[in-house]
Amino acid sequence: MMNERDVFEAIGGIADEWIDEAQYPVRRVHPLRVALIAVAAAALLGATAFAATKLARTWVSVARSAPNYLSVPSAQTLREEMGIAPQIPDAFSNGYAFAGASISQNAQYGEDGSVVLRKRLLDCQYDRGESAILLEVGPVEGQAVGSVADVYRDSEIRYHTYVGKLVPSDYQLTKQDRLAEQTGRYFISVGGAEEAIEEVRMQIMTWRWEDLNYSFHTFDGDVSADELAQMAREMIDFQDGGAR
Amino acid sequence: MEDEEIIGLYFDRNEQAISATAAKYGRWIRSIAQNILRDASDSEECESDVYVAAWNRIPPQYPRRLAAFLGRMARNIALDRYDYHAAARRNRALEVAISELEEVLPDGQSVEGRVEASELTEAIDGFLRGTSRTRRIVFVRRYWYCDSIRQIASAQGFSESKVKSMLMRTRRELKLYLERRGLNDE
Repeated sequence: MMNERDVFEAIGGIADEWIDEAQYPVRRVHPLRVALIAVAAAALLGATAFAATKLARTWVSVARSAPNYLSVPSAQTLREEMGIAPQIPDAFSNGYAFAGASISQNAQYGEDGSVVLRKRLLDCQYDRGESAILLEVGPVEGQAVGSVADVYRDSEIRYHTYVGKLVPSDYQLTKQDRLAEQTGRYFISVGGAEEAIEEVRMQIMTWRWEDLNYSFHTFDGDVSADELAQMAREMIDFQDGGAR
Repeated sequence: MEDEEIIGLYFDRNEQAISATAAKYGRWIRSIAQNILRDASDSEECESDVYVAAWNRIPPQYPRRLAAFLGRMARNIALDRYDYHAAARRNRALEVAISELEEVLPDGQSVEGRVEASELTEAIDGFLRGTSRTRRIVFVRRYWYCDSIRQIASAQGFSESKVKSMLMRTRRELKLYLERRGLNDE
């Protein structure tokens, strides 16, 4: 005799891949996509060392579907595993709390298909209710993007906002899309959306500290620019020893 | 620390395996237990039991996915503990989640005839493979992780009504899927 409890227990035996997959909620994919687009925007708008006219799809970013770290990684762990040693906080004063971190592999391709640049980035996700922010940490490269929103402890904190269009992987780019990318009106992330096209307003707050580049990425106005700047200041202070 | 290194510590019978597991997965294990037990103290004991079980099972087992391996043990241990305490400390939220699965059975009735648990699991796996990623994650969060509707809505950025309707549709489709496989015939 089968009843609902049997079904519940049978669900307990489902494949590991579904359990792993569900560790990372559907919308958590977005901040990582945001990172992809943001990197593309950086390449397009400011990174003169790396062919500034390249479009978004010349950057390929690969992150594990499951996070590398489910708890805050120590600076020592990151030094051993990534070669960089940022101090990662477990929460910010405005309530954003650590939810997981991934190491993403990023490559920029030239017109001939060769790899121009490879880099590994640490992508840490912080959640507050439904809202998610991505903290990205990596080596300093190219020029900083955005306008100076604040100067804190001699570090320029820069802010940049733009429109990202997330489309399914089978999406065919239109002439308008190509024109929009070329003019910087919006950037397209192919594969950024599972089904329907989504347009989102991206925000980036970026700064440099002790040879590392830090940036917050978020979308759709979940958090204000002032809040992001405050979080950047907290992050800078946190590098002094891990105590906020 | 990478999972392979943690598993290596277990194979070396190095007790640091436990602390490394706790550092990386402790909070996650507790959250699974907490969803079932709704009691912080019980959840912590459940977490300790998971470490003991992992220590006893690795080796000889070599988990292909350490997170799922630990999570599955956490769920099973928490359910055993829940059954033991159920009369005294009933988790109404969990009972509601389980009762929703009645819709997967024909006409809300219990099914006569024996269905092997492994056969049912295999069928559900097949069903999940064919459903969209979004709906699969919502379903697994509800019935594997035992998240509340509110938790799912909050984490996924959906409204609660959207989560409810998504789950209802998924349950209906699962019922049809099981019927097609002859698992729901009375």
